Amino acid sequence: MSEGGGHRFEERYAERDLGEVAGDFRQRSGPDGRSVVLEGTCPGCLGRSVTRIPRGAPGAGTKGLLGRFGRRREAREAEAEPDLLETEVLFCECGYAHPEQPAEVAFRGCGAQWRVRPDDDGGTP
Amino acid sequence: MTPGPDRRWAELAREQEFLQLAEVRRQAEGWRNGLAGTTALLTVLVFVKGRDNLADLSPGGRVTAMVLLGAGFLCLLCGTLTAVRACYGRPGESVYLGGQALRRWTEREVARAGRLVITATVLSVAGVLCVAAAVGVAWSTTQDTGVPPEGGAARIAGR
Ligand SMILES: [Zn+2]
Ligand SMILES: [Zn+2]
Repeated sequence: MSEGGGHRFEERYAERDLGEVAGDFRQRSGPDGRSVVLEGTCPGCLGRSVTRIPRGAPGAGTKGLLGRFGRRREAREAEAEPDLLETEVLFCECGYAHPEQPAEVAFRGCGAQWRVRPDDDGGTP
Repeated sequence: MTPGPDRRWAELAREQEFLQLAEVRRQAEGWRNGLAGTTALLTVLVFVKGRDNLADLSPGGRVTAMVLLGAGFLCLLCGTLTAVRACYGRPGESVYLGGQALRRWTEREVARAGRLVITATVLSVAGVLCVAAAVGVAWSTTQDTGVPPEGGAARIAGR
């Protein structure tokens, strides 16, 4: 697949679900070690979409006496980095201001969302 | 297919990245208050100790009262901590802030908090009953030592 080269800049922004897509998406660890980066070609606009998913407090998280239990558990979970491509819904983040894109969007792209078909990206469950 | 709640969850997850610190502070505050509240439980022990009547109990009654009191104290302590956990979550917890991960965490946490509230209620009621039973035992099995209640000083000297 062409990466960025075939970016359809003229694609209008529209929030639409493309369902399961066999894309070229890859998951890699973020440079800070506390995040995961999902990268590949958006099936909506063919732009290069990069989504960073940080690890963070979901509504919890502190240091201190009782935090020790939590941290030990956290360390265990961090060892096995989950396959987020398998579980997450991706949203186009090609970064381009597609036509008709609202001023305030959480995901700057063409508005497409999709799931990556599991068998297609080399990841084994 | 229409974009359903998936987008909303993903947006929430993205927002959460920026709200983490406030969330952690709020949780820390809750835990601090909860832990401070547990010190109030010490008054349970002081209450009976302050009556200075444990020494007056028969040996069997004393053991029973102490066990009940200890059990009650533990129940109240665990009940309080469980309630705080239900209200403010587990400190130090972190997940990948993706929409689906956050959705699953939220579903789990909702179920967990519901169970914890029930556990906390049971523990607290059991704790109160234990303490009440301990006081009951203390009152009912107090031996008549023949010393009038106001003769505390003489009793201590005589021991
Ligand atoms: Zn796109
Ligand atoms: Zn694009």
